[in-house]
Amino acid sequence: MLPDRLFARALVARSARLWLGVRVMLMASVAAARLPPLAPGAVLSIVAVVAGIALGYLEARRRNELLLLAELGTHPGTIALLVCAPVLLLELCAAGVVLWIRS
Amino acid sequence: MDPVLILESVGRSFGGRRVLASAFLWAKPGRVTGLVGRNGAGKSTLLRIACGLVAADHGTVRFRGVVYERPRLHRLAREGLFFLPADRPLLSPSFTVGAQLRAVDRQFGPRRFDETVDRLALEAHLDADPRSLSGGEHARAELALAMLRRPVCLLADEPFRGIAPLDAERVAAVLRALAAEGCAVVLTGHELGSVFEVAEEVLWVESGTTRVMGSPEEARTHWEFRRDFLGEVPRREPRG
Repeated sequence: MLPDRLFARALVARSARLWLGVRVMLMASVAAARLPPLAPGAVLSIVAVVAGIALGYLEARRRNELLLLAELGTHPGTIALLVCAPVLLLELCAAGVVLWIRS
Repeated sequence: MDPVLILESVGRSFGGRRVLASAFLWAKPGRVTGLVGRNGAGKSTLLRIACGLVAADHGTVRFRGVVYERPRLHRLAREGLFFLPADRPLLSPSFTVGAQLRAVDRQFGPRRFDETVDRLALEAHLDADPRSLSGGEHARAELALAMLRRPVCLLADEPFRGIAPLDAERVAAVLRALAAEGCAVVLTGHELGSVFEVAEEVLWVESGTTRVMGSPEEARTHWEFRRDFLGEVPRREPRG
């Protein structure tokens, strides 16, 4: 069962914001380490994805949304999808942009 | 009428301490069942097992005719169960109270947002952040969520805890109204005045099991209940 659009939008938007925050921090760290900011980053990508998803999930839990959505019949897998999908999509887009710039 | 929710022979230990040995619970459509017992007797654990938030060591949970070996809250919720927890809030601080109530109303129509808000006197709090609500307001807002969900079975853990008499009256009225619509209501609490006022049947959780006490009046006159739970010493013990 899909959650109401209010909750679904909030989960997606929050995950996207958190991923952006993680990405900016990672790029700042890379710049501080005097590495090329657009260095190919399989490791950085994995860190950004894992951190973005973990933070999105923890934030939803902290805000009681996991329990509330379960009370409304939403499967935990649906919540995981709403948290993971924007992070994965944005990371793929970012990787695509980096590859395009480097080419 | 047959119960919609039945727990049988449920047991649960925490760190070697047995809280429930062989307890049962039932919820009948259109009736309010009061679950009473001393602190730590296992009332909340029993409700948490019933809604799938805590796994039982043994025993079964049957909801609407289906036996769940590993009940999960979202599955039971989809079938119409709603749990009001006592120890953690349900409302998200990400949205206003009104936005969350409207979302639940949209999802589980037919609509009755205005009626619910009016009945629970929440008009003034619709634009509020749930964190800014008092205990009584919070209890009313969460009960509004339950009412808008139109549950088949409502499990309310200590709905009268820490709330003013006027709020308790409103909460009791809504619990009775839900039962009148056919919802099976189970509630726990130490506020015996409020619990006994709304409950039609009393179950006593004691020594790891559950005892049927009958109506609140019958419970009040039961000598063991009076001695071991109410702390009253009957003038004379029954013969035999």
